[in-house]
Amino acid sequence: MPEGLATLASAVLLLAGAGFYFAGTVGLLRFPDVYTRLHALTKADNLGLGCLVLGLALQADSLAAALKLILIWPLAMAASASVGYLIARRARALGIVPWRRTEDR
Amino acid sequence: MSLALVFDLLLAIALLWSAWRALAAPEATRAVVMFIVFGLLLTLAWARLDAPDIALAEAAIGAGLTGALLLDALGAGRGERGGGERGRGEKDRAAARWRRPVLALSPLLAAVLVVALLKAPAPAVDLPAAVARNMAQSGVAHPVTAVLLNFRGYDTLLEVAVLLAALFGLLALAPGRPRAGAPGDPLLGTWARLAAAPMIVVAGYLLWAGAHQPGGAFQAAAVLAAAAVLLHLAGLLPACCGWGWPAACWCFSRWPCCRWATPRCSPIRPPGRGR
Repeated sequence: MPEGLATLASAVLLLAGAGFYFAGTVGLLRFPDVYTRLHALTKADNLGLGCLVLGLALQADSLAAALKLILIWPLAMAASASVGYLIARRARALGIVPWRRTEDR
Repeated sequence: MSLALVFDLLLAIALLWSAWRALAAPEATRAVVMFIVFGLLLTLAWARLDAPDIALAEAAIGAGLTGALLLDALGAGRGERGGGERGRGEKDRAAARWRRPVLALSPLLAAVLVVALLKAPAPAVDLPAAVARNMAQSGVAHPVTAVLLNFRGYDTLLEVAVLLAALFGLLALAPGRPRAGAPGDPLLGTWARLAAAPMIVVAGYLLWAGAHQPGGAFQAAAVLAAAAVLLHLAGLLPACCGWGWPAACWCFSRWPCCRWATPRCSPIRPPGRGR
């Protein structure tokens, strides 16, 4: 039954996407400095968005709508990668030192 | 309590919280970031209210374009003042003086608006019905576009004329020539070049799609302007054009035969040719 299978796959993908977003948000709140937080956000949220978009594309009414949904993913990935790099570069220019474990210091 | 109601309540709380944070932020950068967050949340609120046209406009104009312009203005202010930490502190304090009056007045304004909305008399003409009756004459299938570009086309055209007059006034009064963007980061420049072309295509698509679904001229123009802002932020927009003719200059400088129209535009460097 392909209909039920698509719904199941969509649900699994949506849940996985939510899980990645949750991990990214926990990282944003819990990681010690701007660089590690950026790492959590740009990595986990990109994967989360990919899962969400694929999950929603499986439920889309038409192929065009599904392709439009999937198009969001590479655009958001390109934007978030560039913005993450620019924020990290600005933080470095402002002299923010990357966090280290206390025993390494 | 249904799940949708919980979401709406959370959204309302987040809206008020981000608005408060934008006003109460001690420094301008943080206030601008919170303003962008506020705009994105407002987009969600419009989408929840079944107003996709306004949601699209808010996402493109309110959150995206205004946010980028505010960030650009922040960067410009910092550059001109030589990055004086003291000067910035004074500016922030000067801005803080306005905070209390604004905080006091905005609930008042909200209350006045709510009362006005509740006490509004019933409209003499049933406009939605009139629009629905005349949809066939408009030539488009989406009622918002039919009103904006067909039924009140002259209104919209005159709005553009007013904006154009305001722009000329601004350019005439602006001290000195418009500023060119600083040569930006190479990665930003590459992405701005790559993103500009799809953004122009998306603007065209939004205008075309507005005939039969949410979209239209405002949203398309916002995306087009965002492409210009992006190029400006990356330092790729010629200086002479500034904000007056960014799109026109960008197009004209591509074709040598049109250079006479924008004589002071320097052609945009093709990617990969170093600076």
